[in-house]
Amino acid sequence: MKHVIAPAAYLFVIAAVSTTLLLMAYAVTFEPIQNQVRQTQDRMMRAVLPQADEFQEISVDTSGTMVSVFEATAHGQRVGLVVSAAPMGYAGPIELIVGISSEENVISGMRIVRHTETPGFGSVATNERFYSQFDNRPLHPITVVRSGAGEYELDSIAASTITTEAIVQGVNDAIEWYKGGGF
Amino acid sequence: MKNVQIQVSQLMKNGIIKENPIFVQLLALCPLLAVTTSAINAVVMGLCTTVVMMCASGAISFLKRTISPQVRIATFIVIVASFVTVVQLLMAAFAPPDINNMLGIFIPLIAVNCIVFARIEIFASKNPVFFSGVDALAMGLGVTLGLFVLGAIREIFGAGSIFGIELIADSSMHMLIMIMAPGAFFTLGTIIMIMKYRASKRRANA
Repeated sequence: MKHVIAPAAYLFVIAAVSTTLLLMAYAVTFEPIQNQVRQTQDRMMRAVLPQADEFQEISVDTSGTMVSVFEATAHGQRVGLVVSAAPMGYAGPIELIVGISSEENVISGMRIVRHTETPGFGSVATNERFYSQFDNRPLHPITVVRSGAGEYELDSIAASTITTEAIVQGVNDAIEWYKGGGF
Repeated sequence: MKNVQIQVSQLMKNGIIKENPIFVQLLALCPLLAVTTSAINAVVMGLCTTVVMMCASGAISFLKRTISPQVRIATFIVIVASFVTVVQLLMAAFAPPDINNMLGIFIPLIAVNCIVFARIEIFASKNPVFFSGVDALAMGLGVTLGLFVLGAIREIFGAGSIFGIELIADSSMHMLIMIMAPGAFFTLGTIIMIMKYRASKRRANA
């Protein structure tokens, strides 16, 4: 029996010491990690809605691919909303945010936060040439076309229709929710 | 003192060149393929691995006389995994967000990286703390060098840039397959082929 207790006790001590050190590391890094997350989020949201200086999450009934909604304020006054959505792309969910300006009633912009789309194909969505197409768009559902996009249409990324349609789905869900009112 | 110097330089040469964990020992190929999509990712991953290796080798060498043989492996795992978690927390707290996003899922994989355990089992558990640290540093730098070479080649051919600095602006010249899994195999295979060829030439001439 003794030859089982000794090693077990030893492992217990090692595990206890390791856990203590881990807790210390966790405590030290907790705040910085929270700050990092908040900062990244803020930076992204400021990119889609530059006129705002503060973003606060509000609880709403989300629909479709929406995840959460943030109220954007400047000097305490609401200037718009940022909707985060996660539509299913070609190779997994595409986390994106859509800025809606309540003053001008337009889509102020869209940014991809995280994605796993194919490099060179769907990943092109993170280029300015693509996402700038969402700057100052009217609040009207968008249809994806292969080329020669008209007013409420968008050219799909070359050979990446699924990715494009997913992104547009996220944006459309945000538009539909916003026009539904009640926030 | 002279003896120590000789030993240190031997350990360094061994870890970085003679028994390079990636090109010679062919260890840790799975995370390697995924993190060498760009030079900066490769280097950061290599350095994180080096830090973990030095801490783990040092700690285990320090404890080597006390380790109960029956729980040897379990002890190694607890210690290595703890250091990996510390590195992961520190990265999440203080590293730039772009790097974090790319490496986030791979840092925990260092905990099961064969290289770490190999050095612990083969060297650190039987040698003094100082030399264990040097061995870990040498092997870690060997890993970093290997990852860097792979990352740089893949980034230059696949994205036309190095460390994010654009070299080839014409995107039609970029060989995208280099950034995907097959590209990693092509690069690694070619490098090993060249090394083996040169080694056999050297043997033929000797």
